[in-house]
Amino acid sequence: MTNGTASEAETAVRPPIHRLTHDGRSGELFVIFLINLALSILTLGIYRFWGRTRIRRYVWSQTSLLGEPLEYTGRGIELFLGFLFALVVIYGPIIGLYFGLDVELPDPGEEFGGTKLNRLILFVAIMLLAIPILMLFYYVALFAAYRYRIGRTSWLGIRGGMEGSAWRYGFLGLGLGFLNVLTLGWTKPWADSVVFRYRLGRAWFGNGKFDSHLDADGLYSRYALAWIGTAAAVGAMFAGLATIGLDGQVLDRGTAVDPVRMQIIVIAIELTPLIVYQLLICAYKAALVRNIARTLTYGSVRFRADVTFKDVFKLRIPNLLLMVFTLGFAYPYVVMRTTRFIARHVEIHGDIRTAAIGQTEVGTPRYGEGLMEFFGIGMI
Amino acid sequence: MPDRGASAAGTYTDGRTARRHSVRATIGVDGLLIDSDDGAVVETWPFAELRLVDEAYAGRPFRLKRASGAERLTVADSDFLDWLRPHTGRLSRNDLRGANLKVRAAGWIGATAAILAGFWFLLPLAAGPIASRVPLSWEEGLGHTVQRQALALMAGDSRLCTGRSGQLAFARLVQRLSATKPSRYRFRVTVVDNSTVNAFAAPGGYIVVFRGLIDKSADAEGLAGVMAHEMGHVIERHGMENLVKALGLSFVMSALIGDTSGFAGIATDMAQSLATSKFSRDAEREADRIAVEMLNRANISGRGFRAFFQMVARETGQEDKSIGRYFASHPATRGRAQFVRTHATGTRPAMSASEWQAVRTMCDR
Repeated sequence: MTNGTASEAETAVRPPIHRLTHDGRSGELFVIFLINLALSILTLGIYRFWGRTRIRRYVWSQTSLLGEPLEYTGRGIELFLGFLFALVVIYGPIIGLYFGLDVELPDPGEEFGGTKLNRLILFVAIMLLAIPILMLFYYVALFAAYRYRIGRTSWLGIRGGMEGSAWRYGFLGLGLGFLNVLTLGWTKPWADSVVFRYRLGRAWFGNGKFDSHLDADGLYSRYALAWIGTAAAVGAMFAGLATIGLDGQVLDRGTAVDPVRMQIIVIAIELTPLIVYQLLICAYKAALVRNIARTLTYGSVRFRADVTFKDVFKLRIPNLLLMVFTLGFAYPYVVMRTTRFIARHVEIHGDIRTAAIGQTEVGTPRYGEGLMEFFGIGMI
Repeated sequence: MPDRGASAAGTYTDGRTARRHSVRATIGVDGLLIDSDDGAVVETWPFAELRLVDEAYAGRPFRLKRASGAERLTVADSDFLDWLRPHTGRLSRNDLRGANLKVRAAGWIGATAAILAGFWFLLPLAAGPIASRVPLSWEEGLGHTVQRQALALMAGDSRLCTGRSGQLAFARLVQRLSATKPSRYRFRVTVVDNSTVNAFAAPGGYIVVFRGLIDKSADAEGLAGVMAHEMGHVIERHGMENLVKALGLSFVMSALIGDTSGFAGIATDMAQSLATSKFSRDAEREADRIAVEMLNRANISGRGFRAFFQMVARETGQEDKSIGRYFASHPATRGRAQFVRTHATGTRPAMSASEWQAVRTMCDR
């Protein structure tokens, strides 16, 4: 019950510090993972909604605060129905439009003009207009997914909740996304802080509300480093590709190199900016996590997550490599690493007066995060 | 029952506030008695209504609820669960009653491997019957898309050869061949101005011939043999079978990866796999057999077809890249030349000298 609680002598002057504890084991999660895999294949993928629910239930139940485990109360059917709904929302209009307009693509060499051409142009134009709509959906889906997870998480029999509007969050994300494009990414740290503040500041646990006064303090220097480093890497990539020639011939000698080796070199060159970005962005992500924790409050409770560049680097890069090189089979281990990382670094400062926390009044969504399925982010 | 009266310390929450009550849980006559020292909690949960909230693991606390109620009871001593079990029904859908982790893991690894192996072996077997049930209009639509995608992949050098008399000669040849073996397909041949020695058959009768193939054919009979071979692929629905296999495989893959967005990419992947088509040895042999049958019935000499295989065998041996790329997937070329020699009985040319000339120049601008 006194997990991580500071010594009693200090309690008088300083509020106690609590940490999450995580007792999960990769082996146990791996068994669940394998069961899910087998059943997903047998059901052509449909079981994965139930599978994901089972994985969450395990991860939640093995994570405790004050010795009391969290509980995930979501159900597979909710995820499945959300997915079906999203399927109609995303694919319905596209298919309807394609057939409604009777679009034909030109055959090579075919004379292509008149109404056929007009219909194709109209279709392409509508699809281009649909890109912002898809981006809007992405942010709406993100908010809905967080709202679902928070609403289906409970601790000590009390659940979380999220107020605010997914659509408003969607438009906020869309607008900031455009701004980021216009400024070549230089508004991203500020935009990130706005978006996180919106979400975190609307979260509830029981009848108590979280608050966030997150700003972009200290984010810009780390972001600038990643931006400039990545830009330099992109420049180096083009220089490299120009030297060896895009067709795999070394230009100045004009001789063909072993094509397989050439392919490997070309891929390595093309991957450089991505690798540089992934490395450098760790510093930014660490600063973002620190700021989010520092500016988050729940009543008199405060938070800390003093992660460094090295911490985030040691979490992200091995996770990435593990997933790639085991073709996803390291998933349970990656989930465990991540959960343990959170348990190790997140500190909760202050008295959690459980007796004073009542059940939440914030409603919970009936169906889960279906839209998110189409954007494929989020690990668990 | 021996364990009646056994008890353990636990924590109770009522689902209304987060207040934790230290309680004593005791196995009673027809339920679990829960009571706190201060008397704030006094409850009996009937055994039939007891449920595990999560999967329970030995040595770690477990959590109980009462049917779908909001109350929770957490007990630190996992042995208590073993004492409790004889009194209750199944405590959860995933109640695994002390199952051995290693045995479970091995079982599920085995099951997964068996399922994957099943797909691996059953998919090719199922592909044929499934492909033959695809309506013609679908097959034609699909073939058209595949042909268009494949031509689009060649981007810059995909100019079509539209020499009028050459097209007519081609049409007459295809007509003559298809008349020997009635099928539901209408064959549509497209010639592309590309030096690769290649030809492929998309489902539904869409055949694409590269200029390089015409250039490398010594005579019209060689071209006729290759055309008949491709028509054989169409009639036997080899392309369709490949697509069914690819589709099945991508279903499995997306189940593995859990990524639905991948479904959108399947159509293009299919086109790609067909454009760089690799039919199995058996499919190639079958197409060869049909080709010779067609040539024989049309009384077209097999000499050119045989010469074509010999040319391919020779040039593949010299590692001519433009040929090797495609015909590497056509194994044992010399054996195929041998097959043509033993079975071909035709004696007549495939087209007139002027028609052949028209075909050879149909790509000239």
